[in-house]
Amino acid sequence: MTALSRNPSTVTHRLGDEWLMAYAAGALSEGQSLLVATHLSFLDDAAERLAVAEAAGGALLETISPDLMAPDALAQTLARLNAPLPATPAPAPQVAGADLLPAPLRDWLGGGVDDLKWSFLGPGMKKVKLWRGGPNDQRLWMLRAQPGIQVPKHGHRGTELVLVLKGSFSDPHGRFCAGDVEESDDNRMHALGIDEGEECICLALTEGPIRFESWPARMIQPFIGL
Amino acid sequence: MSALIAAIAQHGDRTAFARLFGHYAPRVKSYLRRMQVDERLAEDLAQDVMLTVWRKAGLFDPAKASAGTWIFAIARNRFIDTVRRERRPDLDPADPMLVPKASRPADESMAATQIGARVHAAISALPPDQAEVVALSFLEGLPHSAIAERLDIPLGTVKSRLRLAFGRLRAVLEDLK
Repeated sequence: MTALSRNPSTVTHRLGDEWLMAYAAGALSEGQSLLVATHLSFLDDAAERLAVAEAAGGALLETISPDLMAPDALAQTLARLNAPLPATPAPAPQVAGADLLPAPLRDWLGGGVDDLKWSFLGPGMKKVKLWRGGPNDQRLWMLRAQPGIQVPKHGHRGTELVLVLKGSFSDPHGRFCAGDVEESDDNRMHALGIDEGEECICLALTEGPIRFESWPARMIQPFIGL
Repeated sequence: MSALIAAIAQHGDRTAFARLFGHYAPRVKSYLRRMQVDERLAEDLAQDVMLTVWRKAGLFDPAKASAGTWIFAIARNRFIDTVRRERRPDLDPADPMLVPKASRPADESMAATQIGARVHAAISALPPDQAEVVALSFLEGLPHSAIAERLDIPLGTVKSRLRLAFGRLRAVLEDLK
């Protein structure tokens, strides 16, 4: 695949700061954390903003009412200070093509997009399921669509987050390019049009099964498992 | 507190460690208890977190975070790793995207100590409805949907309160620039 565009100035659709706060708080599921960390990798001020959010955690830790430690807690910990360090796992080997993905996603996948097992989702569309869990039956998956493809009108029970990794798509809310996230809430039916010129790869987090509006799309729904 | 971590990093100062332990271990344990960790595991993990503070003291950068913020992040990651048994995808500090564009000013570390105090003040000055969602998020690790349920308010209200709280914290930092 060609290099992902990672010019932060092109990111015009950012996730709301409540996602940054929840990421800093450790209140997100693994799938949500991965999407948020990958999105943040496209922003040039992410480290700074995350530092602000984490400072809230630090301030709250100072104000929390302290709990009693065991009487010998300090002595026990002091006795362990000179213990040999546990072996740290070797960093994951770099895979060809993997360096094009933002670090959090690359490390989590342990490879690049071409190493994934893509399967049929619809005409001109492939998907790969990455993770399922958290509250509200969350599913993290990737979409790979050919230029000019229309993703049929669909909705979900809860929140849908779509992060563009490569290429772009458009819908009534605008044009979404690499680094941009579209957040759609509760059951709002929407369709996406992949822009011409380049394939589009997205990281998506959805809650509950996809519901398609049209009957042909609904008929294949049981087979795609999303 | 930052000076104590520096003393550990520079000459393995055990007295500094004991003071840091006295202040933070009971707070880390209290945090873990609020995250629904049972008493015994919370005790063990609080000790482990302090051991990590000793081992990683050399990586602590007072220009980037206060001691409390750094230790909060260690405790949070330890909780996700050990209790939730999930991987926490981290931003990669070596990622060129995250390297600040301009070189930092020389008085940065002084600003950083002020930041700790200012953020602290900003947190205690939050309107009660914002303070409540921030505390439920950071100290109990509740997802937005669970906060909405607990407080019996719409999900959108939870999100907007967190955004407003973040805006106030961010304003504190903008003032220092």
